[in-house]
Amino acid sequence: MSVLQWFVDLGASVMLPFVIFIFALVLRTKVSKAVRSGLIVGIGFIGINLVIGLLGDSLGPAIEAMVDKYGLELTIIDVGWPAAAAISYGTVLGSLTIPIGIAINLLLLSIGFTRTLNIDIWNFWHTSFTASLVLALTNHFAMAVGVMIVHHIVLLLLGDWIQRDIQSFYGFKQITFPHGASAPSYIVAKPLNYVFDRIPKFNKLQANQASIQKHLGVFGDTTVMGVVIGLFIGVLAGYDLKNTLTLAMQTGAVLVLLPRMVALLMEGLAPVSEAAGNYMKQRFPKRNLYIGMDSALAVGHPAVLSASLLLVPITLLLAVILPGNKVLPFTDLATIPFLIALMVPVFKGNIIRTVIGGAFYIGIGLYIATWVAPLVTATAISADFNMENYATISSLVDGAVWTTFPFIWLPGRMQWFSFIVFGAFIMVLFIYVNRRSRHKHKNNSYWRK
Amino acid sequence: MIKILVICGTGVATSTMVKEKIREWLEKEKLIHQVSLFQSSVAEAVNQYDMYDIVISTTIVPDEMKDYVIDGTPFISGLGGEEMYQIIREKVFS
Repeated sequence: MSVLQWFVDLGASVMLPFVIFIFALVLRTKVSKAVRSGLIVGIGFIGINLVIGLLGDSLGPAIEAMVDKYGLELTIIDVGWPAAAAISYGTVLGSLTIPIGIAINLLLLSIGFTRTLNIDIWNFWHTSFTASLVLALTNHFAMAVGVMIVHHIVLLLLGDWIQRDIQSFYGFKQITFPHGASAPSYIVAKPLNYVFDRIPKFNKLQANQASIQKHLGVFGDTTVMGVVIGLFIGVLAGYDLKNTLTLAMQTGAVLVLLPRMVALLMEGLAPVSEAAGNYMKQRFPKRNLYIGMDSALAVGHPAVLSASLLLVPITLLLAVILPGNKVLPFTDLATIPFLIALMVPVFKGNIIRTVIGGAFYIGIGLYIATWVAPLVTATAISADFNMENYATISSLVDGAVWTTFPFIWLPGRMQWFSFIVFGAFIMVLFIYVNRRSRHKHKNNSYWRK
Repeated sequence: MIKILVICGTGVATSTMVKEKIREWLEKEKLIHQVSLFQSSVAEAVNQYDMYDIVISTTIVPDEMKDYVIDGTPFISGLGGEEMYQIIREKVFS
């Protein structure tokens, strides 16, 4: 145990290259490629840490000044999914999520519990995010692993459930998105759409998405978005012109650089995730399965992009006016498309519904993100991130994703008993999803075997 | 110099995978010095896609750029990537 502890204490940037190297070798990647993969991941980590440092240095004091001036209690900086992913992969649980996720997926496929083959290995970080927060809350390693397993199972079942809408709306055949940040919103969108359908007049409203994109498109560019937000906060903080402009350039830099650093992480993980995907596909070559991929495939849809553009100012406004919210949305303003990507098919591409539904969803999400902030901060520190200039951090992805709340709150409340609740939820979801599928696939031999 | 832009939802995840695949192929074919590869998110690409010779996207793109863009999903699903390479080759030699 002490050897393992020593290894973990090396910090993510040293530990992960070894872990990725070993994974790559196990999956029969060439040694030279495996070495490079591991090193690139470690370098990506250091890069992310640098940018997070810049964000803390620039935005941290500005927010303090803003809080002093207006009494706005937005003290928690939203560091966003790039940091959340890095933090999640930087813990022991982050290394475990890839083998555990693959094992669970293969097991559930072989017993016919799911039809989803999730080859989107990269996004396994979502399960280690929840698991890491559970560990931070309960200090109980086995329970954290349990939550990770439950999270994997729930995402696979969601993958089964949402596939039909993904195929009919986005037109991806046999592809589904068992994506930690996107899939859960589907469950929220369903009842909302039911309600929207029954509001007279409102149920007939439509908006023109082309004009939204044309007039607001430039703000969808993260470069512009980052600078504009920086300017805004600089003014609110009462900075002089020079400091405001400096802050604006720095926040712009963060929004541009952070994804670049994560791209390095991704570049290193690519051989591993590809080899793992192939390994899984080989195990189930002929079955009529849904292939689980990154919902990034769908976020370019005009309805998703337009609704997300409108949701950026709405999210900021919500953060200011909602009493009790302490999160200042920042990096994940650029990630809103992922939060709503699976609401859009439910609303059949209706932008007005998506914006209202999305605002409702994100509004509640801000409270969850506020609630998990101390846990995210503790996890970031334990993953060796430089938190000097931050009071607390959080992230809308996955902090604002509703599944984050039960997955962390229940184990904190009911300890092991919470797994009875999780188990019941999984069974209900399984039965519901399969009723529908069986109905739909009546003529498909897969379900009769 | 042929400029290839690879886009996806974030400009981070799937576009990196496609970019790496194209890079490997270009190296294998010894074409790497004739091509420069770029990547970005779809929201950024909307304003600047016409600066590139080839645009490959793994995500759905807005209507105005539809005709300009090649579907990159074959690279990630692994089905039919060959045609893509053919298109790139033709562009490089034209």
